[in-house]
Amino acid sequence: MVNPAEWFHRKKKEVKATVAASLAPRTPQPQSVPDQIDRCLELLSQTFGNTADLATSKIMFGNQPALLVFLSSMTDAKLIAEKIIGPLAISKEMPKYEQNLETYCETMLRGIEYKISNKWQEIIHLMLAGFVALFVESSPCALVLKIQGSSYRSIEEPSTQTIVKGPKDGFTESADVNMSLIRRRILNPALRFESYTLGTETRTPVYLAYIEGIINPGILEEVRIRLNNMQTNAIFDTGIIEEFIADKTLTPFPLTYNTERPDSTAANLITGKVAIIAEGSPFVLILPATFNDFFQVSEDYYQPYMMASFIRIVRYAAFMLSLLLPATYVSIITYHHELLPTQLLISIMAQREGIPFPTVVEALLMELTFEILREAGIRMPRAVGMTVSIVGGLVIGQAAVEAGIISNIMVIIVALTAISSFVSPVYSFSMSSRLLRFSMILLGAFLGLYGVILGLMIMVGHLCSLRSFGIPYLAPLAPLVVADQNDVFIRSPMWAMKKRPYFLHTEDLIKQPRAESPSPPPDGRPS
Amino acid sequence: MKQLTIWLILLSFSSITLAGCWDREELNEISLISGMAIDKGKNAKYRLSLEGVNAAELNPKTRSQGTPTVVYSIEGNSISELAHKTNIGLSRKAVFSHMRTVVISEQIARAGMLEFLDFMERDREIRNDFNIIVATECQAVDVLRMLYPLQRISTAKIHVQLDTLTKDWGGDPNIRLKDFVNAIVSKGREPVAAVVRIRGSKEKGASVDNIQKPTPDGLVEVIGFAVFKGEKMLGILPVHYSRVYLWTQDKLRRTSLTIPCQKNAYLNMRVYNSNTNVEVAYENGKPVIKVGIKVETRLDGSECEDPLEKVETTMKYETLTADYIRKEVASAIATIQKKYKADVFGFGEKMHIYAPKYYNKVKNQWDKEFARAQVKVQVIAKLRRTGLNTNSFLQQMKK
Repeated sequence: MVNPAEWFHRKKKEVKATVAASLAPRTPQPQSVPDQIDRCLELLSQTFGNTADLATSKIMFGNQPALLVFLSSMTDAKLIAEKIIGPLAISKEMPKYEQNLETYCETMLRGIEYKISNKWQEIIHLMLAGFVALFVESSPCALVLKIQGSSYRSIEEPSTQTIVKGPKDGFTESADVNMSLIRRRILNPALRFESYTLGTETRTPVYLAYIEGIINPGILEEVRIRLNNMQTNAIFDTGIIEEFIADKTLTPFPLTYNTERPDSTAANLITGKVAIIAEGSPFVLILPATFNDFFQVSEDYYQPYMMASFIRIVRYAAFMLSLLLPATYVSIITYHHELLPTQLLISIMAQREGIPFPTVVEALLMELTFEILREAGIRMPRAVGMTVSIVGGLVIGQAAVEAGIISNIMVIIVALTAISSFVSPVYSFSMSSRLLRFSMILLGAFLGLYGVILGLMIMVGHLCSLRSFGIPYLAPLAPLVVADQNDVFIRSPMWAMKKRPYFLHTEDLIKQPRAESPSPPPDGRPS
Repeated sequence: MKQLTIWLILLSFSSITLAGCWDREELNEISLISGMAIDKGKNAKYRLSLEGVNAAELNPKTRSQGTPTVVYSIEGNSISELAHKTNIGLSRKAVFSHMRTVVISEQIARAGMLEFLDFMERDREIRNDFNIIVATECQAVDVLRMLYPLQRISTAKIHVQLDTLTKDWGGDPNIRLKDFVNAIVSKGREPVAAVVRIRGSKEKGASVDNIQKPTPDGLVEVIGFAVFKGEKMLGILPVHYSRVYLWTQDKLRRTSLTIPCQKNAYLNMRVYNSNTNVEVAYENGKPVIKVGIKVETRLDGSECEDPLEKVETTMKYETLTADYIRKEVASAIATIQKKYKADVFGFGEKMHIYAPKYYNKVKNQWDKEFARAQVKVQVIAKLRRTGLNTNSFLQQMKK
């Protein structure tokens, strides 16, 4: 037992030594497949230990003893019995060597993907991916057969990014399903999925999707380099990859866009971005991401552009509200009474009469309460979810006002702020305004509107300094690209968006060269 | 680099802890001042009265039977000190940023004791766009005490009252602090102000009961137009002089006229658009002032028998309207010329632009020049429509 204090004060050198030790392979792995099945069994139990889902069974391969090994969690036992054990039982041939294995496969296993290999590591990895391995006595090669089958969640509507009009399917935890969802939308042979295996412990398959001929090779190369340089032991969600490959992590703003929506992923790929899909995560990372991406919803493109533009402007306004409303309120109320119309000021004064706390304390109290409520609402078991809304809405909101601890107007401010913060279509982005709001409130409370403006200036300066895979975060606003403004604050009609964003420097700039505004036939009558 | 960052963080933190919060004022620690009244003091130069708002009483939800405002008076020799000394009697810090109206007593105005305007212009908290009015036949402080059922704050009521009066009839010269001070300073213009008095009982009006009666016991009325010369008030003229003043300033928006058209029969004209152009010149050894007014009117009522569908009638009415306005404006200017010899209309400022050489010679006695100036008023009136009817029922009865 290590004394925690001792452990904590270990010298740096020792820590380094431990890191070096952990980097070394734990058990030496054999390079090639041994030709005795008993030896194979030994090695297998060495590699997998005594995991419960490792199934081994000795069968006869012709008249040779053979060993069938698979991970029951990743394969379909019924299919194995049907496709392998069944044919083997009636097989009279006696395949001996590699060629024989191949003949066997060609004659008996029609329609099953297979591979013959003598590399131990490769076989282990394939087994992990759901392949079945067949080791035959006195054969230096093993046969691996693709009999995958494992239960996945069926395709459902995305839970974090819902829309009214548009496709309702969402990504699942299976990377294969996710890839097929994207592939089904882009029937273009130039769509590429590059395979990576990340995580020294988890060996998670990660796929990099892009469209050859559109994607800026510079960005693609950068993503490849960062993925290859990733040194981590476990990946359970793309969120983990995000932190490893983002340009900067000391920022409240997300530098990658994550989505649960295949349609939005496909649209981004076509715009000239890269998507990263990880096995086990229903969220797909899209890079590079800019500030404006977080105000765009795929639905914007499915509904009339005037409405979409209006809603988009509302989203920007809501972001500003959720960031600045409490801070502005606090600073105006405590420093700049003269800015309010007299009637409004008197009405606020009447409500604040008898409130024991200063406005800042009141604001922080309510904002914190709201954050707690929100967190509780997410973490609570669904069955008790109702309790939170009752306790939150009634007890805290109404009772606090009636008890004269919180003023009515503060409840309105907090509610408006809360609603505004939900408007952002990407959850990870709304967190940035949640976080910054508190520092804004403090600045407003200490320095008044001057402080709020100061905070905004620092924030904008910080935003200007951010890059996402080399693309300025505020593009196309700073640096200003006039030609790209047709899809920032307003969404132009579809036919007017002929080009891809300049700031992405895509290989193929023009998206739809022949798109034209619809118009009636020239003679005014349908022909 | 690291050290620099640490220093920067420390510096910004100290700016918050050292300089932050210096003018922080919680809303429930201040008392909003909605109006101010200045009287002559008994033992000192001034008596300053402040009207503090009792916010809880003004919110329909928290309202009880209490008083909506608190009026407190204090005597002293300078308004600026008194404004910060009110806590002798009041509990909270007085905040002047929402002050709408300053009432000056006639006594102060006639004595020209307006030195305090310097403080009001200088102070960073007080706005420069409040109304300045003169209270006659009572103390200025009495005006602050007249409660009114709708606005409940007496000075807020006066502010709204003056604003509406300017917009709808033109009975208030709409003078703000900056106009007043500019007029005092300018040699080619003299200040004016609206004059109010209390109708009814000032004792009964100064009670919460006043807001519970359909006809308030005490009510603040605008009764006229004060003419100043420099900082001294010369006299009070009836309220329609304010309209003439607004006309000459091209600030009149809408007004109503009652024009005699036959014996004991009147024509009601509603002016809804008015445009004034003042030209001044120096001709034949005399300043000449030409006031050109263009009005667009609507017939609001007619007691006369002229058939309204005829063009001649329209032309006749237009002439009648023009004559009426011309007489009103000309006689008002003439009265001020003769009686007060004070150029409240700012014709001198115009003269400075049109005839600078002449004006520079006479600017120190411009008021004398103004008094002997020849004033020509030209009015063009247009009758645009006759309301919803053509001929009135009065004419149809007679047929």
